[in-house]
Amino acid sequence: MTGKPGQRQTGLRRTLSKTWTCYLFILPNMLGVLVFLAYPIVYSFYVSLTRWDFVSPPRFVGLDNYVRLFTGDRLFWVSMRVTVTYVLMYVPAVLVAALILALAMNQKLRGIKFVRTAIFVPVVTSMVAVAIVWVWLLSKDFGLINIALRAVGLPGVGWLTNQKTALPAIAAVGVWKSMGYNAIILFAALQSVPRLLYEAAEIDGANSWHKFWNVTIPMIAPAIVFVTVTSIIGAFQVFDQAFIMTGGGPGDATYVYNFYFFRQAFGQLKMGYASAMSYILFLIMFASAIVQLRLTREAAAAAF
Amino acid sequence: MGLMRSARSAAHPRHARRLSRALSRALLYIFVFCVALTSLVPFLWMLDTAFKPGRYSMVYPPVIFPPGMGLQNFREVLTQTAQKTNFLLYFRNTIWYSFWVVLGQLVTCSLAGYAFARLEFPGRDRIFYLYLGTMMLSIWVTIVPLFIEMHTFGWYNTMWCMTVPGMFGSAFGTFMLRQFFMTLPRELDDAALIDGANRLQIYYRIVLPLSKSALSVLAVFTLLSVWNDFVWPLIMIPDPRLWTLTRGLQQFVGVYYTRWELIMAASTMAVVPIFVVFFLAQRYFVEGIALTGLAGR
Repeated sequence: MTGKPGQRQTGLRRTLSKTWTCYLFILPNMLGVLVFLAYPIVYSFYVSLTRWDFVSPPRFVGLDNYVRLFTGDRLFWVSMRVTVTYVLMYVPAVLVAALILALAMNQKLRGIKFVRTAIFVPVVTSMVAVAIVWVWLLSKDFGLINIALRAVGLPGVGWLTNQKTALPAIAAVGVWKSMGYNAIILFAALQSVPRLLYEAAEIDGANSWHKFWNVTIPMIAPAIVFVTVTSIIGAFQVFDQAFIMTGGGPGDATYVYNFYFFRQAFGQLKMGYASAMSYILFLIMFASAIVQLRLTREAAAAAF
Repeated sequence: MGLMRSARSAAHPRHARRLSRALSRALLYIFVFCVALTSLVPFLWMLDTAFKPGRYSMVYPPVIFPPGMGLQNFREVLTQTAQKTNFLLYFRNTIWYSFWVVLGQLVTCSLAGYAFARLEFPGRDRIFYLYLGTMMLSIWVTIVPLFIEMHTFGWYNTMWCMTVPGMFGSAFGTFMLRQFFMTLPRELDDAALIDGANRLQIYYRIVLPLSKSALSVLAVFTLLSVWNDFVWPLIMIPDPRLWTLTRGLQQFVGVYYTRWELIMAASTMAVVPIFVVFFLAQRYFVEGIALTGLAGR
């Protein structure tokens, strides 16, 4: 017994002497992941426990930043409310749009390749360009949207300057940009549903509605969960639209979480406070990912 | 149940059923083409505004093809505004950064992906799970420490911070290539080993040449993410001489916010290269998305 750890060590040493070159393969990538991903997330937590203006050295303050965020910061709650509202607008809309598109693509229509290409164009375009083009399309007097509205006799709306419409407008732009991406994921899932199941359902007398609810939806449930959760995670990080299209306004109508974070971190250089904010966002995204894992497992179990 | 079905088809005359099927198909066509149109019209409107003389961009009712359409707005963006916004420079910078990041990712991710897929060494799977864990980290969570880190390294506001972190730090690329490498038959490795090849030779003589499509997917996705990135350049490079197209474009809007014809010309220049890449490499985009979707399972 006493000799065992030593033996194991020499055994390990022998394996290492044979396999050490393997580590050279992963070394460059590993260094990158450690230096630019793993270390920052750990360091970020430490920074969130300090007060640091980036001029004088950081001062350890414990959980003070978190306490101040939750109890004394009106804008934190405003930005959280705006972001959650954005998530609630964006996620159902993008899910339904992507699902309908995926179902349509799954019907072997002629010219569907063209449609697939078309819905992909916004996906590959940068959000900066998309946001700028949409500012132009949504502009009050000469924007295409209002021109179209006026053509059918409706009054034009100052989409991005009206408190009520600004957030729905940037959510719509988000949906417009990413529905093609999500549709492709759902489409791939639809294609992997075995024909046999539909045939079996038909023999049982199912109509297309039954087939949709009882075969299609359960079979692509993992993909639906994936799209939903990645959309939630993505939506919590919304920034570009608010930064470019509205600047957080009008009032605080589009004052999203990361916009506030950006101002705290790089406008006011409050490194500790901003890190606390980003850690809260991290926990929200982490929780979403855990929920995804759970639901995917359940959905996969339910499908079989 | 079979009875039910025949009863139903008996109730509907055959031609009525065919008609309703044709009708629903027509509705489906109208729907998908409306969606396709919705995706394209904003870009067509962008192009239209970019090619129209400025005085036609703000008229009601709009004129889609006014006299005097041409490249004058593009010329103005490239020449007359170059004092404040130098788009040719942004082009060069963006291409330069993209080149290095794509090259770096291809090398580092394929090396690591190869090791994770086909070599056996202690701790391999544990290290791989650590990788998977970092895949869900978003830039918003790490940007403050990275901002500090770039200052510490002396890379803040230099081209180093636009290239080096991107070249080395990707778990997604490693994961994707590993999944692909695992599908290649192992007999190839064994045969090469018998012929006296070492692991490195197997990697670049056998595995890489067989993985062109997977490497293309990674290259295209990396190019897209560097080209379209906005937050990183916004935060890391205040110096206009180092700006990318997205950063320059955002600044341009701030300076020329009433000249929509110029803004649309500038936007066109920023997005058209990506459109070209997309149309040439469309297959890889779709494949890559399907792969990312699989990653979530």
